[in-house]
Amino acid sequence: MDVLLDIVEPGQTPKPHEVRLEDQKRVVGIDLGTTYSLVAAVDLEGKPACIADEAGLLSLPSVVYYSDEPGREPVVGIKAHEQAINHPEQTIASAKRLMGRGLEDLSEENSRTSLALEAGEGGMVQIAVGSQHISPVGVAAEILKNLKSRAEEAMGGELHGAVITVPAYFDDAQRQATKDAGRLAGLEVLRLVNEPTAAALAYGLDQGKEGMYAIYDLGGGTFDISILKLSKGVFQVMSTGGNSSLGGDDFDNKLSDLFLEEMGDEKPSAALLQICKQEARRVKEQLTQSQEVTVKIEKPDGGIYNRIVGRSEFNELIKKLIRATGLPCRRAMKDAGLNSGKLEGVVLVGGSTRVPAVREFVAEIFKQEPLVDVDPDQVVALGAAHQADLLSGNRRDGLLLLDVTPLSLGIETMGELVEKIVPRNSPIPTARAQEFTTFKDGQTAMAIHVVQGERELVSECRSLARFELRGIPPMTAGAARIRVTFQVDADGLLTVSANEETTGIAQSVMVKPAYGLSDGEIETMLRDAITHGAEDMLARAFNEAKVDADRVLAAAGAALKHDGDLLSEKELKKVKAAMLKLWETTQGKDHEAINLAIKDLDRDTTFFAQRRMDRGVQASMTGHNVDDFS
Amino acid sequence: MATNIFPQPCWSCRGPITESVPFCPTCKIIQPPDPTQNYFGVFSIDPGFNVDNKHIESLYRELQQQFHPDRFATKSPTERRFSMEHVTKLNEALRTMEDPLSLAVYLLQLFGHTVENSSKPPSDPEFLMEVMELRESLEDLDLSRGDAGEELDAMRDDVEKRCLNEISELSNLFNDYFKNSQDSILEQAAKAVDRLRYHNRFLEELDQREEALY
Repeated sequence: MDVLLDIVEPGQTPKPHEVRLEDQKRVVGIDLGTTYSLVAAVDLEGKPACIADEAGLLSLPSVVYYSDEPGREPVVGIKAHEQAINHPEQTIASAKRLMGRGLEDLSEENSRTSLALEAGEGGMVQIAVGSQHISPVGVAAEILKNLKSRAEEAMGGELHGAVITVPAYFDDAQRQATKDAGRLAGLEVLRLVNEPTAAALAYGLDQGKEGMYAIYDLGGGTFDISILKLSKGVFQVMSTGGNSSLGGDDFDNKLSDLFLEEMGDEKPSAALLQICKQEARRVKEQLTQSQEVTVKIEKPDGGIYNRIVGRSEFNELIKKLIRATGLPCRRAMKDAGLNSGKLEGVVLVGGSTRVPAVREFVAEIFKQEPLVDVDPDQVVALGAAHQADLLSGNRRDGLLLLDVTPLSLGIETMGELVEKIVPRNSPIPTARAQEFTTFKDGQTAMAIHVVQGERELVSECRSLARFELRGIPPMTAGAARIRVTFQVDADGLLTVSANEETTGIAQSVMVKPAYGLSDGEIETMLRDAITHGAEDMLARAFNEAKVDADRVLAAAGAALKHDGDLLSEKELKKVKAAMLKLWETTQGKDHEAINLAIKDLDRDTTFFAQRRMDRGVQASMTGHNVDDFS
Repeated sequence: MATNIFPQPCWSCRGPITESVPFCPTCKIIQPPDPTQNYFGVFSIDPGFNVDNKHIESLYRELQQQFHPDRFATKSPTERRFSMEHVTKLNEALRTMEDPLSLAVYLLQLFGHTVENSSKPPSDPEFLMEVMELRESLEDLDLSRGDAGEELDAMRDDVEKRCLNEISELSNLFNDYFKNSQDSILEQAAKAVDRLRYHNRFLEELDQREEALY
């Protein structure tokens, strides 16, 4: 291929005569994995294949290294992986586990990782690397950018779109985060597809079979189970379940914990942690072939830690983790209205299904030997490529994917209970409505809290969004009819609207559940990414500072609105003055002035934050949840 | 069924649309779903309580092939929206058809008899007794005992049998109503719906207890 002919200005589509044969659109499928990521495309004959990098490698380690020198581009893949031992706190791996997560959601990650995790806006996780604050979305975007340029080089031009896979069990916030990462990377995200569904697509194509299939997907960081029905070219997901924080990394951790314990190092350095983790992974991988593997680790005191790990010892170590995949499997089978005898086949997906003990457990729970014809590492990307091809209109062969919502969606009602509106495993797209009413005379507003999960208590479900329906005409209690509608689109993303029906006045609110990044911030980040050249470092610093400032101002404004009564007039004046000063700096060009003003405002509102917290604790103790704003 | 919204022009080519059709006869472009069409109309079958699930499922797949958003991924935003509206309705229709409780409630609504989805205790004293007995036996169950799983299974079998009885009663009642449209039949059906709803909830609770066992 003549490279010169293919040079196109960014943002421009190639000239017509340069478009590939038959006007095929350049689309890809991307498996954005916890430990590895892959990109695949369908060739002119309709066969999907993974695209290799310059060195001929298909999988890209999902690792990004951030230099502490400002302005340096992040490093992605194997080169980043190599930095992990010397710069563990700057090398971000398994960021997928943090996607769309709040700091509070993470139980073990916190203690385990050598990264400095912190709470960003709305409590969402971010990673501090030197002076930078990196969101998991940003990390994923770097990985996607790398795969995008790899694909563009191979396919000879800019991509028209991509299908990105997500674990079936990803909740709304995690899906939103993934889609935003795609946008940040400059990809047109055609669709988010559940990983097991994509795998089935890759499988079913080669086989042309009909019937019910179970897809058991154990990756580096997530476990998914889906039951699918294949019939006349339609792939219908009957049920799905899983655990979004269980995977092969946990096997590594078990081994690595064992090494550290035996070494007797109670406060291991970040570097030693990394070495143990890498050694643990090697042992796990070799144990799929051998019965025993020798471990050798140099201790910080110069001594050598030496031992042999046998397969049965390893199996015992991870037994509980593997057993934990059993409940979601049974539940998914029941939701699909099946018992194990009726399955046509069980498909294995994900590198962790190479572990012999996992295969044995799968055979036991489904009462049959699993299928392993397609490389479990590639199968998701291959299926995604096929789905991208179908969506781009390149081909029509009648194949169709019908997916479901993985988790129930509902809203909070009296007594901190969840009222489910869209039950799990509902085919998407779907729309459901539920009516609610006011519980006080003259009530003019109602707080609506959207949650996702199977548990009955709000505190045990994932909080997606809170909004207020205002302007309800004053009526006696119970007279108003407030209809809350949940619409889930084909990507599995949720939009909620609410309106009051009796008066005929449409009081409607649309919410996109937020996971911390607003659309405005995404735009800023996008702009940021585009204008990120070396000469623009100052502008970049200013942009970042301004985003921070806007965020702080919005938070302070909201706090004053709700709890301004906690302040004396003098205190209120002081806070307002600090806010005004901060706002003024955002109109200038100096990012340091902004950062200084943020610090000042912070200082001037510390006592206010403390009082608000006290009030919050009191409010939660009295147990009110559907607020009355009248 | 009142289909007084026709004739109307196609939203795209302004050609005439004289009846409820998914695609414009002139320009073949997708039309919005007809709001006056009920779920039986979606599948082009006669209204009734005894639906053939296998038949419905195969119709469902055919309709998905025509309307699914994947088929409109490269089309205009309006077409994509209509496709989503069609499939949203189709999914809702399938869900209603496949679940006897939802189907009974839907039929009652079609016949102008609204059913309240309340969690109030049953008003029928005989049924109230039954409910309390079931509840007591569930409360008395000791989940830590080794045979708790079997006890739960036995309870499930028992309640599932009651559900089947109510479903067959509903089937008879709706058959009667199609022959002889008396409101009293619908009232009886509404009572059977209440009982079925209660028993379904009880089954859900059994499931939750069972999950706690593992």
